[in-house]
Amino acid sequence: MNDWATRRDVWLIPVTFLAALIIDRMAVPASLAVFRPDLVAIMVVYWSLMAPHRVGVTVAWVLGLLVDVATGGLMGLTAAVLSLQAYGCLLCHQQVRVLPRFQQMLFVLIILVVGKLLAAAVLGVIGRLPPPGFWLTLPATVLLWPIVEETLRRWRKEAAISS
Amino acid sequence: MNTLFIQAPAITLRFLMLLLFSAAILIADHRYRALETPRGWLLTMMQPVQAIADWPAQRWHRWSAAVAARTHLLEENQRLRETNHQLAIEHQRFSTLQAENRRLNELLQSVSVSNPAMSYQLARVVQVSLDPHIQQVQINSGSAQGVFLGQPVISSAGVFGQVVHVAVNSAQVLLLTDISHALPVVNQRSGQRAIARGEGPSGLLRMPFLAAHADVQPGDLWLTSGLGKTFPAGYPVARLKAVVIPPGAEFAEVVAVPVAQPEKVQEVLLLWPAANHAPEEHPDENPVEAAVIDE
Repeated sequence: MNDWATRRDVWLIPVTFLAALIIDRMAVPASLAVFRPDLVAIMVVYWSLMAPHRVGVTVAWVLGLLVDVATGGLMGLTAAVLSLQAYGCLLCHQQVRVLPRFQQMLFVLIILVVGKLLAAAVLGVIGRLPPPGFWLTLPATVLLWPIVEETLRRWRKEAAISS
Repeated sequence: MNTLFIQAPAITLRFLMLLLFSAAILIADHRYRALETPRGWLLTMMQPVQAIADWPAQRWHRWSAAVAARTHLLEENQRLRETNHQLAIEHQRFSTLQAENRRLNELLQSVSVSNPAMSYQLARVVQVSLDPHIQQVQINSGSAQGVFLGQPVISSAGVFGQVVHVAVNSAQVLLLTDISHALPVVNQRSGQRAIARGEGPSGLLRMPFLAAHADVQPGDLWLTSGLGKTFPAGYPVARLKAVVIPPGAEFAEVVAVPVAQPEKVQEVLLLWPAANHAPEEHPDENPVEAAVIDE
């Protein structure tokens, strides 16, 4: 792994995660809030596909715990969801990386739906109904994938991160 | 070449352990509320993130106040002045009534039910997006300002909710309309007691187990009864919207609208029972001085 020698790459992953955490916490009007993409999830999916040796289930779990605490949600719920999503990506990262972009989006959709199903199941056990717009975050998140992929690939080339 | 393949069995094992750990945390947090201390630490850690996320909204708020038209400000000033006069007049009557009430109570040799000795402190609702499954807001006061778990929070209109998570300089407040929230209330007109349970996203309250013959009417105001020990007695909670008595049913279906309109509130008041705690003095950090209302 020759890229350990370069310095800038070490920062790109935490910086993108931090940005995702901050932007996800920004308040938007309630009518738009249901459509907002889940940036932390897409960052976890991206990095666990592209840098599976750096970002895996543990990083995803810690991020999820931070999200849970920051949002005042059930502690451990987002942590479990994100680590499940990261796990799915780790298992398939070699196949998915070489797929055409449309099929990559399909894969991202499947991963996100699996995460949502886990969240819905846990909420169901606890006795809370999923809020209105629970599934509406999916389209925006999936549509964000090409932008995220394209942008981060360029940054990664500059920062020389490979798996 | 360990860079090409990741160790699938090891990852699966780690994933399963994390999943188990998540389940344990979920149960400990949701079922037993046993993790409030570590949650407080983590929330304190996340405060910079929250502050940056809140910054644009706050900036916008200040900016719009700065460029607001002069006439608009004058109008607002006039309106506030009128409200202030009204409140001052009502307060005069209030102290007279309070004195009279105390005298009458002494005559009857009964203990006063209202609990007037409270101290208040203003807190701002921080504009950050929170978990949409739970009806809650974040405020900009925390344990450094003396905020404690289960502390009652009111708005200028009525009961708002209670503090559920505390960090050093922020806290999260569960609204009274959340599905997990319930508080004991009393009907101002008839004295009928009930439990007001949150309905979740609809923003309404429901009062279960009210007998079909209970004396309640649409428009009735419900106050806190003080029985639950969390909220002091006598604060307005909700106005009754509809009573439906299904034929043959033992219980009425009662729906009420909270008077505080929790989703629109920008500033809330934290309440301290004056007997055991007063907000600590932080004149630098808190522009709003704690106003102690004496009996």
